[in-house]
Amino acid sequence: MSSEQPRRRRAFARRWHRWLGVIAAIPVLWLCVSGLILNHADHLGLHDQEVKNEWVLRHYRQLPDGEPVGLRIGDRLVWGWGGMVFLDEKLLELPGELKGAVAVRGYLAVATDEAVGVFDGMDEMEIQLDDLSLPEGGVVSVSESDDHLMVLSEGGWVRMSEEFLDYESDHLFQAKVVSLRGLDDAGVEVAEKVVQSRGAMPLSRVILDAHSGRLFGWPGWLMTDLTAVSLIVLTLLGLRLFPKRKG
Amino acid sequence: MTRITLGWDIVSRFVRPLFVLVLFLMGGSAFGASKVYQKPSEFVKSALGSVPKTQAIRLTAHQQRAVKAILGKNYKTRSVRHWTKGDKTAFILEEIGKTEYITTGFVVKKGQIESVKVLVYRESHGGEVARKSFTNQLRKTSLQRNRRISRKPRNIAGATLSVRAMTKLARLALYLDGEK
Repeated sequence: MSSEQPRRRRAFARRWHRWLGVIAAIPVLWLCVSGLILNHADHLGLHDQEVKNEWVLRHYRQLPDGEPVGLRIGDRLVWGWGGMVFLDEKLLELPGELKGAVAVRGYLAVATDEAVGVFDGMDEMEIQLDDLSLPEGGVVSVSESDDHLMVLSEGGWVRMSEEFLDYESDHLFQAKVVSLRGLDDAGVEVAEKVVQSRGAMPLSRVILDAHSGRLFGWPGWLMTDLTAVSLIVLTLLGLRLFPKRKG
Repeated sequence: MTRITLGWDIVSRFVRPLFVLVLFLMGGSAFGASKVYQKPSEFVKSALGSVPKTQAIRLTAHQQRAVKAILGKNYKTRSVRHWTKGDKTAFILEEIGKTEYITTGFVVKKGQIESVKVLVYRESHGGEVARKSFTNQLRKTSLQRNRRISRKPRNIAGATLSVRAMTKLARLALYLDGEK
């Protein structure tokens, strides 16, 4: 073996080490800094700090797609947006998409495709009805007739009992369908504000996902992987360059 | 030949953990999807044989206080539905794990939990509480005088809040069974 060969190998290793080091410098720096920050998240209070940036909230599906829809019941506004249901500015603990709402005997019945919640005058939920108390096929709309809550499902209208626990069905039952409408500009503004304030993400979670690259989708984690691979290669090249030159 | 084998050994040594890391990152990228294990009506039907007439307990002020002592807050509804057949009573109860509700079905018989099943799990993490290895720990438990559960389930790392929520719901089911 000629003495030229090891020298060439060293030059090759040095060149790669130099360029790879420059290219990987910024991602490696980011990984180190974010890793250090995450290691001290408790002391830095990162779990309590919130991120309300629109892009971040949309990424975490905290800002729903589509437009908010709702209806007015007296002076109250019942509205829904992306699987969340609100009474004025209060989030109602009801699963599903808003389908309708109606006042019945001093109660407010709010229907989603999965459940019906019956609220009293203090906005407390009296009872929540699911498929055990509602007709099969999901709720399409709700209405009121003769002081009874009427529920429209795929099979037609049913009349709920006074305690809302059972229903009776009759093909003769009829009621007026309550339709939902898009909110006006002022309503949309309030809706955005309410949803945005509810959906804030802890800063620690955002930094963690940025650290792992997940925050930026597949390009993010690919970049993280490439950075990790670069570090491995840099280490190997560094070890290759470590021994002193002979002569 | 030896050099090739040695080279492959080194590569595989680095590639394997990297592959595991990539899988981990891909697996962790799912944000907050809810999982429906069973419909409440199917749970009650399978637990009691059929769906009996729906009954409800309307919580009095005294009962509200007891519920608050168990959950640390009021239950989400003032009336709690239950279905009774013979000496078995089924409850469908909900409690927040970290940010989302966990819908759980309980069957109580003679003051003891006979079966537990997570029906809908909405959190992004901590879904291990839906496994039988966890829910079985709540079976045959009863409520002590201090309204604590007779046998606490083991904690699951990474699912502490869900475990707490499930334990609270088990206590609530046992308490409500005594109040119906």
